[in-house]
Amino acid sequence: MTTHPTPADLAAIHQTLALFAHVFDNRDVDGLGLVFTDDVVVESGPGPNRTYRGIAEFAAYARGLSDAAPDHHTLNTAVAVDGQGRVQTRSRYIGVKPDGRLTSGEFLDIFERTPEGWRIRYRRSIQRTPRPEGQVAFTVDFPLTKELDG
Amino acid sequence: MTRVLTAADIAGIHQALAQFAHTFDNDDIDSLGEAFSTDVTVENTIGAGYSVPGLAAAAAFTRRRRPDTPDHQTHDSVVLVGDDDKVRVRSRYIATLVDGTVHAGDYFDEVERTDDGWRITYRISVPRNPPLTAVKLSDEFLEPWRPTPGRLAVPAEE
Repeated sequence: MTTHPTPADLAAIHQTLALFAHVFDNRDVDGLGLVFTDDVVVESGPGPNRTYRGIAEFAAYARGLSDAAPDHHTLNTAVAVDGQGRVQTRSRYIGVKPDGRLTSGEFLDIFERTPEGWRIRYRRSIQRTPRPEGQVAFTVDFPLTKELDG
Repeated sequence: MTRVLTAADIAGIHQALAQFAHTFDNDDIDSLGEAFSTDVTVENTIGAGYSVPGLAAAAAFTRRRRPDTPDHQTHDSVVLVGDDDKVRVRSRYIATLVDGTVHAGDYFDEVERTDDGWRITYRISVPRNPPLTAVKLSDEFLEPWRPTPGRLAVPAEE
């Protein structure tokens, strides 16, 4: 059971979230291990539409990103401890594309404290904008109830 | 120096980074010193690049800039401690322009603890998206800001 994160834990968790943009957007696949656990699961979209299992699979995705992929900016992070004692965060992201247009959405993350520091064990990425006029943004309940292996 | 910084140090560093936008964007020259050290050097790779040496020059730069220059939002700050004991930070910025568009990029900073708190002693701004004409920095120059397990600051309680 995890107790509520200390100020040092919160600083480290924010640092891990901040690192994502710098390593992922630069295709620094070695640096992804500073952000994610080896057994991370990353899911994107409302379905979710796409699932990456393990850091190697996610690194392959990062390596194959096109030059048109947006840069990521992570902010507005709220921290919660769920019923299982897991630390979770809910952040907003802004994606800045090379043509200057923006996307935005949510990163919902389940963290794990490893001997190397706080790492993301599960990420759900959900785009909110752009979306069709009149359509409500998709979201999910937070904290997540996602069950993880191990 | 050890890689261990206290949570209060990290908060102090974030505060100096945040004060840049509030002071610079509001032409608050008297408070620029809450972001920058007296001996700060501020550089930008945009266009042919420029370098502003010292807080007084940074204040003069702020005073003469056009009134419709962008606002700055700073986030995604990662604190690194090098083998040379320097504390470095790399952040993302979003610059919001008066026409409602944005451009965005990276800040590569060096910071130091002064008697008045943490201050930026060196900054170089590097635009990313949308791509702008800019001086390209070498990988060797940027290497100290590359996140590695040995450089990431480890926040401690005290």
